[in-house]
Amino acid sequence: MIIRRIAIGNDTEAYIENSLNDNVNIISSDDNNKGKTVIIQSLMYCIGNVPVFPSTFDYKAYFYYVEFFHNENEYAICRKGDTFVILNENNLMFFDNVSEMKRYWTKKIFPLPEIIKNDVNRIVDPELFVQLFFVGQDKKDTSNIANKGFYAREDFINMLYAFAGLGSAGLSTEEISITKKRIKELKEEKKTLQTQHKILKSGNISSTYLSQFSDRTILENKIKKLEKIKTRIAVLRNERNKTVNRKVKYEITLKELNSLNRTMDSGELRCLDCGSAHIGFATDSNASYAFDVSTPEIRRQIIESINEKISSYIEEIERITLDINKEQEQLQQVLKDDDISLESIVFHKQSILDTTGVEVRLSEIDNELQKLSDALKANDANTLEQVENQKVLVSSILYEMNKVYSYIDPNGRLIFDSLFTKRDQVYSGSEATEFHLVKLYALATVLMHPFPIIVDSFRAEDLSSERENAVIELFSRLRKQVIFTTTLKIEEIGKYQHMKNINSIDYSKNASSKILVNTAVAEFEALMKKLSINL
Amino acid sequence: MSYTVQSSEKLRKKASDTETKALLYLMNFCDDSDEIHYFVVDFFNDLTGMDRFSRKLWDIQSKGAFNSSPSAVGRELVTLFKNYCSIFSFHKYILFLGGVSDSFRIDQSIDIFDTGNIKTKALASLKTGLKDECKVKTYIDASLATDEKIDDFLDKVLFVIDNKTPSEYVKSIIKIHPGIMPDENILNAIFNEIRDKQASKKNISVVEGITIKTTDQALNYYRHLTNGEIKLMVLGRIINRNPFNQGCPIPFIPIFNQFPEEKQQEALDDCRIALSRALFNKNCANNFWELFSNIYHIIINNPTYGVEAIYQNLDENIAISCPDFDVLSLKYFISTVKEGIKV
Repeated sequence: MIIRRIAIGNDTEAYIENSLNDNVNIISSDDNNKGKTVIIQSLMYCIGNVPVFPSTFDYKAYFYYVEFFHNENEYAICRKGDTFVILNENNLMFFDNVSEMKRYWTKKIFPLPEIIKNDVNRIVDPELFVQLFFVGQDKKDTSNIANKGFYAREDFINMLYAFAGLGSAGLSTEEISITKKRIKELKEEKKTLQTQHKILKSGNISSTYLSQFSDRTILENKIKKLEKIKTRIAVLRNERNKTVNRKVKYEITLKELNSLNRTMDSGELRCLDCGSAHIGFATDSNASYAFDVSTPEIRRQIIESINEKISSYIEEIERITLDINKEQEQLQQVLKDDDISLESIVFHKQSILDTTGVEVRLSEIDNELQKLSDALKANDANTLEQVENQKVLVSSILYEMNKVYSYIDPNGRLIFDSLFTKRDQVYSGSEATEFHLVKLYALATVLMHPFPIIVDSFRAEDLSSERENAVIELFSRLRKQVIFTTTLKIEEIGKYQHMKNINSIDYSKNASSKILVNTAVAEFEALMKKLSINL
Repeated sequence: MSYTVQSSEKLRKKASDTETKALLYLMNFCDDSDEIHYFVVDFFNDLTGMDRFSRKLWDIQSKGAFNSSPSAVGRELVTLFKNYCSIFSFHKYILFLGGVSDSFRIDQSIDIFDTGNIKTKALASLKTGLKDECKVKTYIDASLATDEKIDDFLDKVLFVIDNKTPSEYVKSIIKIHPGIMPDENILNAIFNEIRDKQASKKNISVVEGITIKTTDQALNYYRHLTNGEIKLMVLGRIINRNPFNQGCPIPFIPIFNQFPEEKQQEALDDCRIALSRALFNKNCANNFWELFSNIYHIIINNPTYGVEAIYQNLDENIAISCPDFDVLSLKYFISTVKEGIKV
């Protein structure tokens, strides 16, 4: 996969990045806020990542456009909000959510790995997938994946296994029995907590009485906040209903199609004297066609596509439900952090403290239960050999990481023994930068994936010149498209221009904090025209 | 223990393939292909082309072998010769061959030729082959096979050597949008479909021994396919692929853009669902093809018409007889056809 062009814009302003080539590209500028991150994040957002734009950038106001080349095919993608348009060889496809888009992607562009998540086999979303080859400037973490939320680091590792064709993470026999025992314990605990919780939650007249002391304005504010969340939930619910409706529509269609595919037998003419069916019936020679309307192959493909649609709607429903849950949590939060008068705090101190603890604990238990049963489920599908191979895969990635690390930093004392650091062990400064770089490098060499390597701010947290040169040298040896960005110090200006094998792209000319310009609109409109989009 | 299949009709596929190639040759590569309306299968001969009112007949005999010797070619001519001697007069006599031995042609590069391109020695053994065959076959009186008559007949025979793959024959039927041009597999599947249909015509009823007085009576036995039927079928197969995989047809985009934004995707999906329903509806095959033919002809005759104009010009009765379409989905269907046909 080679990125050819990135563009962002609308009818008043636009920016188009045309100068990427197939080797190492370094986008640099003499100052911050020159639009490097906007360009890189636009690229990722356009191929389905979650938006991670600088706070001053109103990302919802623009169209995003990426042109890339994969397996001798040219593709152009445009995204606005959750709507995608993909053009490939005169075929124009529309998708109105990420799930549909990723399904098309898997079928037509290249297969995205599938992992087991919340008990179902699902195609990983671009937000997780891009982390195979992309490190952003913000929200990075050595101990976890970026944008943790729906996905967690276990999912990243499972994705690696799936990408290498090794199934999901496996467990040993002892681990299985431990897991099963743990699930049992957790269920017990949950039950106890729930009973306890109920007692605490039961209507307590004195607490309502006491809460009337709350200040009126605080109450009003709270009501406003609640209103907002309520409308958001209502919007999400609407969306979910719409999706459910569409899913049902497709399911009905599927049933209908099966019935249409039957030829009706409406009896035949027979001679009542001799019973012979051999009776002449002259048809109008023009009226009857000898051929069927479609072939079984076409019909099979249609049914397959409809099934595909149904599963993408199911996934979409799940995603919306998750969003609704998030809002509901917020709602609870708002309800909870009510200003409580001193008296009531004193009065209810113990029980309130308990409740918070119980809530947190309950959700922790739920999460853990889910994770454990995922693992168990995945395990069923795994053979011992696979488990062995998975270990080999991880250790070869780690081996590569350590090897490359000692190349970049011969005196470095870090030894990587897992793909993520422990929660309490966080690499600081240049260590973190090196960690991300060597990880990307190792993933690329071990998995041999076809994607470009993209690092926004690749020298973040100060990488010494010597190490930086080693990094550039290393990545240019990969023979892949590489896109790095960095901000230069005054004495460094122009340093990449003279390096051979490097395509230096200078963003210093862009106006500060305003990369989009009016002059590029015409060209941007032409790009959009190709996708039949009128700005 | 195992059982080996023997004595099956191993030449059947090859033979039917060549017959279908002969049909597609007649349909597309003859100088007067446009006049041929009916293709009558296995009646006068392997295949006979007929114009709309059965005034002109193209008689064609096919032979699948790759390397026929001159005398084998002569033997194959017997059915054509029989028709030549009959009371009906045929417009052309064509022998469609999979290939001939090197000793046959003078100029090896010419694939369509008359006796002028046959080596003298080969022509002599060809005549002997034909005469011998006339003696063997009971349906022809050997006394008719005089040298004079044979020479006269051979002057009228056109020899055609098959030099194309099945997919090339199919491709030639129709010019379509390059973005829609299907791959080899689909074209081959279409070829096979025509072949199977053609072969099934042979199974309809026994025609051996019946007598007819005029050539048009041959159509009563329903052993024919029509030019339009085949053409539309091929076009239909190419254009009506999976509507969910093809994206939105470009001619439909102006209409699509007029939908309210929140309805766009849903409306597009509805159109696709309707089209899939039509593609599944086996019980409306006739109506579907009529509608398709109606749309096709309006587009061909009015290449500048937009989707709305084509829709206005449709025959209302035909449109109504396809219960799977409503206004929008019919316009969507028109768009797919319009995108597919290169006009």
